[in-house]
Amino acid sequence: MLLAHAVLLTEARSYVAALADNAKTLEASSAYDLALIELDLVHGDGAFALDATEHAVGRDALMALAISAVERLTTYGMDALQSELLLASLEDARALDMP
Amino acid sequence: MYGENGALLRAELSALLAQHRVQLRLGGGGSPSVPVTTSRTEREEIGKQIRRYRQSVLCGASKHSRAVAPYASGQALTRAAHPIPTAPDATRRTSVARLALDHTVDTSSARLPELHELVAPQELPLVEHWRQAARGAALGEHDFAAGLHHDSLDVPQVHTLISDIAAVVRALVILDQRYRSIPSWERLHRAERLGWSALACALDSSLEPPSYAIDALGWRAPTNVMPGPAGPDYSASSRPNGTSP
Repeated sequence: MLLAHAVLLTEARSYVAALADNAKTLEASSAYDLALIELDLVHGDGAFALDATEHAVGRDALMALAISAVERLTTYGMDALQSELLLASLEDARALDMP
Repeated sequence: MYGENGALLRAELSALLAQHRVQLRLGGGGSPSVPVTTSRTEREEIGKQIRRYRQSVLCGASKHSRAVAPYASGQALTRAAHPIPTAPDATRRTSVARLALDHTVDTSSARLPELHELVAPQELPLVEHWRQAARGAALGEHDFAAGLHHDSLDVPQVHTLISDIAAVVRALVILDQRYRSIPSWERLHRAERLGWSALACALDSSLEPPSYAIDALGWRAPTNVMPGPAGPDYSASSRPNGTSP
């Protein structure tokens, strides 16, 4: 795994974890956790620890950052179908997180 | 992905998952700046056509799961007789997913697409993606004789293939939910059970590293060296050892 790939994967995991932490409902938080599990499922044991630093941005910005990171992961060999499935999981979680 | 058919199926499903606002893509309403070009009856017919293509993909996934793990049964889910944990076996969950898949296939009212439906190009890009996916699933039967069978795969390869089948099934469940706004759309029966069992299969399969050796298997179009003398476009790159023509 290239360093840039590792950094991008850590970013994606951190953003999804931050979304789970900032979710308004328990169901939405669980759905974000499920998306995080799916992200780890694609990479197996190659996933690194996520950055637990609290982000000073809102949920919409976090979601945009997470989607962008997942989309960019395809440039490092992540399968396109797995990427789309992960994006669909994030959308489902956001639908549960809507006020 | 292994073989041309599997690659085609996955690529088309990826393209379908990337498309949102389905009504707009079928010529229906949804945006004030785009005129409505199809009637409700026409969209119903398009929905029926898509469901026929979907049935082909569902049957393809069912056949692949049978070819990969033919001996997986519900009995494998019973508790082991000894307390020592054994290695994870993805085929245990496969039986549950296959039961859900068979139930969904049997309860669907859509028939399989006929040959002319698989061959003739479709006018709408969305339906054309479905046609290509159904074509890949139908031609996937060639993969069984080209190495993708239980007898010729080792355990990591079986896990990898089960994980890929689960991805296809999950994509169908997500698309089914997204297409519910199509007039007279018939949803997959017990789709949630199907989606969760496929996710369980994928999670079990991911406990071991995937086997990329499976990429060399699967059907590919036969190729051969063209006999006879070289043509006028005989370039330096194709000459053996840089010999002059």
